Amino acid sequence: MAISREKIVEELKNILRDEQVVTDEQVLKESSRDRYRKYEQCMDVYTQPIPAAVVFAESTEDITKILAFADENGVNVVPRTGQSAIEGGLETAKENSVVIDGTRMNKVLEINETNMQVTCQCGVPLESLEDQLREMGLTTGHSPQSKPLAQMGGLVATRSIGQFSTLYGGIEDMIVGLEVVFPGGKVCRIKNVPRRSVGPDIRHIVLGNEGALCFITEVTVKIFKYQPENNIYMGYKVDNMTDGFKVLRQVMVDGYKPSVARLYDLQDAEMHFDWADGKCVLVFMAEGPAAVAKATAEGIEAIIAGIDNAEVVDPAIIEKWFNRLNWGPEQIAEEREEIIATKNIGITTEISGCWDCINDIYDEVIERITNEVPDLTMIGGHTSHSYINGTNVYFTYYYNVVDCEPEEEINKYHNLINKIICESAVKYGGSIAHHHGLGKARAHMVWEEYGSSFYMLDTLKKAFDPNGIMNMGTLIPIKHDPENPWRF
Amino acid sequence: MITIINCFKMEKDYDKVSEQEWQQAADEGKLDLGYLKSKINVTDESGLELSLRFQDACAGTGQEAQLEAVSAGEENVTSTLQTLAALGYDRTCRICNKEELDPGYVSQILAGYIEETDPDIIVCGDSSAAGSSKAVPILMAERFGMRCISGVTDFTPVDDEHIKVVYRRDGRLYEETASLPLVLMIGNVGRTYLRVPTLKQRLASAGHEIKVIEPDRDNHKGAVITGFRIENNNRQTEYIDGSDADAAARIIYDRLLREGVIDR
Ligand SMILES: Cc1cc2nc3c(=O)[nH]c(=O)nc-3n(C[C@H](O)[C@H](O)[C@H](O)COP(=O)(O)OP(=O)(O)OC[C@H]3O[C@@H](n4cnc5c(N)ncnc54)[C@H](O)[C@@H]3O)c2cc1C
Repeated sequence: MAISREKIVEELKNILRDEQVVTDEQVLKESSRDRYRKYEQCMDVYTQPIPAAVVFAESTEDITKILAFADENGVNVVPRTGQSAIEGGLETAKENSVVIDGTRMNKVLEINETNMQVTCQCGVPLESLEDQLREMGLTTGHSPQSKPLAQMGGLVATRSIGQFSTLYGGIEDMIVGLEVVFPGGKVCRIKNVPRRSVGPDIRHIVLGNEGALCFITEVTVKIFKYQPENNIYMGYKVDNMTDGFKVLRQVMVDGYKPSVARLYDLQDAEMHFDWADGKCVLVFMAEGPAAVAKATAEGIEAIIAGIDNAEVVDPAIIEKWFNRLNWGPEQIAEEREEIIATKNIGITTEISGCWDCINDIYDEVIERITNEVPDLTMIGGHTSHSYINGTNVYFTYYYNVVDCEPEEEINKYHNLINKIICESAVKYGGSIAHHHGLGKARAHMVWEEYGSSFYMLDTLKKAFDPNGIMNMGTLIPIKHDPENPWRF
Repeated sequence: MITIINCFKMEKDYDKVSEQEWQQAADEGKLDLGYLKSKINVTDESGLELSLRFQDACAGTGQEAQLEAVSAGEENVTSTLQTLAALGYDRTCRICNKEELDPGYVSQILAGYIEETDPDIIVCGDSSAAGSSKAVPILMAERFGMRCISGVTDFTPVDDEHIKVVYRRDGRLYEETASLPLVLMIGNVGRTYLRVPTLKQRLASAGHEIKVIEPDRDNHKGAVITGFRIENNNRQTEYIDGSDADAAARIIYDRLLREGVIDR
């Protein structure tokens, strides 16, 4: 028989100090979802089961005890750190879930300048870590737009990626070692070595698990020299996305590694810049040792020279604009005010594809969303992470919520748009999620995304979480209607 | 039919300028904001939205409101005017203006344009983020001999000759049925962001033509600013402990009496 809500709280208070177990009604309600349900957040509507408690863990030992208890009693747990998730990863999909908050595990344990790596607990905010490192002339090289919000555990759990990814890579290229706790309380440490050949790279079981396999307590990531004095910013206007994709591909194929390589379509460019004049915008930053930065910038300039009508933008404008891209609590509060006042809401969905299909995905998504989505006020996109074989597209869309209860907004608009984007990505052989994770929103496409390799994901889930207590509904859905997969 | 002209200004979002940049600007004597996106001045934006709400309210009463938007500015004003046309503004006009013009000149150009339209209501924001002189609406009211109400937070239709105006004075809200014509200076109104047109609305208004006026610079009769001087930049702050505004005012009043600054 399922353990009661009261009993869960009572038992948690036996394991932890009373003060670590929070049952305040408002905290519980707000902990039942994330920014995937942004409109519901703004309208103060709660549609998900309210968790039994939020527990603030302070050590690996706390996590061990909580996961042993949860596993034994079949209690669903939802790990969290910075709470910046946007795909429903933090939703408490099952009744009487327990949210395990790792924000108090916020110590930087070691900055090792010889081995150029930093070890920290899961609740270390990326921004404070980065500030500390920069004072020492170092950097993680990781700079997602959510830097002011996200913390190390969540960043690893979602396979996040930062704005300097073309040089430093995603979190998967930065991670060295880990400490994690599995259901039942088993603690595993993966040691810090430059590389090894000892079987599968088990770090990848943890990376991107989105709290559905284990709780990440500690991470070690690489660090790099911070030399902003060598940064070279570049900006160009080009006639269309095809030209832009061509430039990005050439930059990658020719072997240049600018840290930033972004392409905005004209709608997205208009949202960001006063000066785009109906054109697409390319933005680059070259960094690293001075000679490398210079060579990178020159290489990009040479590639641009081959594009008809490309216009140079003042680098000072690009630099200042770029340094303001991040989102913190202030922007989130501002956005909330606007949504409440206008009922106009902006959301994003990111996908990826190889060079031979990315333009097709982009074109089809823009056309379908324009034609099929009601009350749309904007659809556009940009690419911000490029590779030798392809790139991502980050679709941005706004719509007015019209004649619709807040509870229905997700089905009427958001899921309809997500569905179109995911369908196009799958149709052309791309991926439905480039860096925000599957969460619970896109988990409904997990079979299409994985194809025959779903067997491996499913086996991992069953092996590491046999009793189904880790963030159920994330990665693999639990409430799935095959007839209407996008109706939640 | 009630005709409303909204005057608005696009400006940079100064809140986005960091402390470091202000400091640098102070040291170097210039502030380069080319990278910042312009947005509609916040009180002007409230005015534009309130006019749309006025038009919506008319629809229920059998009355009609014709809306017009005018702004002096560079090309970037054009996209905002197109947005307004998509939202239901019947006429739009851009007065070409590359430099920051002084309020006297702006009101002169606007007045010339407004004279042609002869509106029942002129709506302007109370202030702008930079150069907040509040002079433009007042100068216009004076020019046309119209009554000007400041601190307006809402206005709704009554009949073809009257509207109901809500405005804030000394921290209190007043409601009045006022005769037209009027100049309304929109004050600080919460949650009046301009609504957003759908792509379909934009498409439907694609044929909309924005009137463009090239000002006659030779005929500039407004005030010419020749320079600025800081009169006094000292500030003294003191906290007055009063249970409410009246009690605090009483304390200040008594003190000023005692110090002989004012007479009873
Ligand atoms: C404005 C904004 C901008 C963003 N920009 C970017 C971007 O540029 N790049 C990018 O990659 N992402 C971006 N994101 C998405 C989000 O910030 C990232 O996914 C981030 O990695 C989440 O970190 P967090 O600490 O906030 O995790 P949370 O939101 O707390 O959790 C995210 C997921 O990870 C799981 N999780 C959290 N902590 C742990 C843990 N200790 N152990 C196991 N599982 C855990 C949760 O269960 C959840 O599924 C953005 C989000 C916002 C709101």
